[in-house]
Amino acid sequence: MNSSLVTASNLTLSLGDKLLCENLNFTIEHNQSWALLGRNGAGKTTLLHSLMGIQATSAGSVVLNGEDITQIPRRKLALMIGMLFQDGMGSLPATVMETVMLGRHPHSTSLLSDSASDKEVAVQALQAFDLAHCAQRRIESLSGGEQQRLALAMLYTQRPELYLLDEPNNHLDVAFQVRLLSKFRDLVSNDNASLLMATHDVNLAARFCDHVVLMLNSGRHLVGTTEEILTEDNLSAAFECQVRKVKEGQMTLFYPE
Amino acid sequence: MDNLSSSLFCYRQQGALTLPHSRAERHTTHAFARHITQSILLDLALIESRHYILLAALLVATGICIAFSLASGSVAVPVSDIFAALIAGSDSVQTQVITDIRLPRTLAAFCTGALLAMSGVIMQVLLRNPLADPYILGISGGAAVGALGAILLGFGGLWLTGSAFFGALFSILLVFGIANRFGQWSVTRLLLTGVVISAGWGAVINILLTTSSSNTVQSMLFWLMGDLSQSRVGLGHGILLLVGLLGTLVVSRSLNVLARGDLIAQSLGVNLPRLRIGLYFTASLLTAAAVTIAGSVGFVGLVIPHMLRLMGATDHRILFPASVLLGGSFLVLADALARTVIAPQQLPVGVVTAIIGVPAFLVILRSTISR
Repeated sequence: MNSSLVTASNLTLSLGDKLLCENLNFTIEHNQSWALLGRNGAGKTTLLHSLMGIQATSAGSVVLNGEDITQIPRRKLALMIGMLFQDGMGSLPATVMETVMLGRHPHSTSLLSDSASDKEVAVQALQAFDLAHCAQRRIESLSGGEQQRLALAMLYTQRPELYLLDEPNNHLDVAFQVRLLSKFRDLVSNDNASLLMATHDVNLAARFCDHVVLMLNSGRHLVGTTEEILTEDNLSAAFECQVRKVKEGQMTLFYPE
Repeated sequence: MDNLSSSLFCYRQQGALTLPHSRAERHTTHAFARHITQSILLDLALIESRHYILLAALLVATGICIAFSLASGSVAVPVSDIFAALIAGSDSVQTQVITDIRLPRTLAAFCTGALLAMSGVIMQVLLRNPLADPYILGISGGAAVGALGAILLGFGGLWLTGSAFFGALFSILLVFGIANRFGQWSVTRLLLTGVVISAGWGAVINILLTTSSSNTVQSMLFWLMGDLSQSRVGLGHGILLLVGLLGTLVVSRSLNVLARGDLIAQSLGVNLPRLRIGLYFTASLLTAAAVTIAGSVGFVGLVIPHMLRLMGATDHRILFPASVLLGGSFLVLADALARTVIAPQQLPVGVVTAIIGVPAFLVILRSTISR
C-alpha cells in the first residue's frame, strides 16, 4: 500500500543569511526509504529539523498525514515522526534501560508506571541493537558506538511512522552500519513506516534507499529515485570533486577520485 | 542474577551478530530471544523493587533522624520518652522542650531540606548539569533579598513569600538569560554567572541590613548563611511541600526525557516552552518558601540529588520522593549537629551544610569537567 506520508512543498530554508535550499518539493510515501545527501553544511540537519517542526522555514510548508506540521501538537507528532539526532545525551546520569524506555514516552498513558507491553518493546530494542548485556549500565560509561546504538534503540522503541536519521552510521563499525540499517529497512517494509536518512555514505544510501534528495550548493537540489540521482555527474557536481561509479555484482559503489 | 548474567553471556557467545540460516535454527534463536526478553524483564522487576526498598530505607532513616533531633539538645530526653511526650502530653519541662521548641524546629528543618532538594533536582534538569543548586546559582540570594525587602517595608505573611518568590524567579531568569546564550552553556559560564549573581545579592543584603534598624548578627547569619533557631513552619508549608511533590511527580516522566536534551525532549512529544515555564515557577516557589523558613541554607539541593543518583535513583519518579525524604532528614540531622557540637553555643545550620557541601561540590565539579 503506497500513500503519501509527508509532503514538503516549496520549502525554502536558510540559516542566518545563508540560503540552504529553495523551493524544495518532495513526497515521501509509506514503505519508502529516502537518502539525504550533500556536502558538509549543505543543510541536511536543518532540513530534517524543519520536517520535525523544530526549525522554522523561510517559506513553504510540510504536510504530514494531511495536516500542516505546525498545527500538530508535539505529543501527537511524536507518534508520527521520530528522529535520531547527532547531539549527545546530556550529562545527567541514567541507565541504558531507562533511556531506551524514554522512546515509549509518547505512547505512555500512565503517569507513573510503565506498561508491560512498553517494557517488552524496549527490551526487544535492546536486543536488536546488541545492548541487552548493558541494560543496567550508566549511559555516561558507554563508548561512542554504544551511545549511537542506544540512540538508535530509543528511536526504534518510539515506533513512529516516519524515521528521520541524522548520520545513523556515526561511530558505528561497518558490520553494525549494515545490520542496523537492515533493522530500519525491515520496519519500513513490515511496519508501514518510512525513512529519511542524512548521510555522507553514498554507498550505504545506494544500498538501502529507493529515493534520494541531493542538496547542491546555493540552494539548488535534485530529487528522484536512487538510479536517477546517483550518477557520476550529479555526485561530482554536488561534492565538487570527481566521483566514479563501479559495478560489483549486485552492488553499485561510488568513490571519489 | 547469576543465572541471568550467564544466559546473557551465552547470548553474546551464540551469535547476536550471526544471522540464523535454517528454519530450525531460526526457531531456536527466536525461542532463545524470548527467553532473554523474559530474563531481562525479570531483572527489571528486581531493579524496580530495589527502588521501593530505597524509599522504604529512606523513610526509616527519616524517622531515626527526627527521633535523634528530638532527643538531642541541652536537656537530654531518652527516645522512649519522646513518644510519650508527643502522644500523651503533660506539663513536664521535658514535654514542653520537645513540643514547643524541638518539634517545631525539627519540622522546619525537614520542610526546608525537602524543598531545597526538590528545587535542586528541577534546576539540574533545566540546566542539565549536576552542579546546579539554588544557593550556588544565587536563586536563594534573590529570594532572600525579596523577603528582606518585604520585611523592611513592613509586609508579612503571603506578601513576604510572594516577594521572595519574585526575587527567586528574577534570579533564575537572570542565570538562564546570561548563562544560556544561543542555546548552549558551559559549566564555566554557568558557575561564573551564579557566583557573580550570589555576590551581588550578598551585597544587596548587606546594604539593606546596615541601613535598617534590624542590623543584628542574627539576621545577618539568617539571610546569608541560613539558620533554624527561630524557624517555625505552618500548615501552608506542609501543603506546599505536598503539592510540590505531587506536581513534580506528574511531570517526572517528562523530566526524564528533558534530561536527555531539548531536541530529544521535543521529538518525544514534550511541550518544551510550557514545561520550562512551569519548572522555572516551581523551582522559584520551592526555593522562596525554603528561604522564608530558614534563610539561605546552601548545598542541600546539590548534595542530596547527587547522593541519590549514586544510590541508583536516576529516574525522576523515584528521585523526587527520595529527595524529599533524604533532603528533609539531612537538614534535620545537620541542625541537630549544629545545636549540639559546640553546646551550649549553637552554629547556624548553613555552616554545617557548607562544611559537607563544599567538598561534595568540588568532587562533582571534577567529575563533570573530566567528562
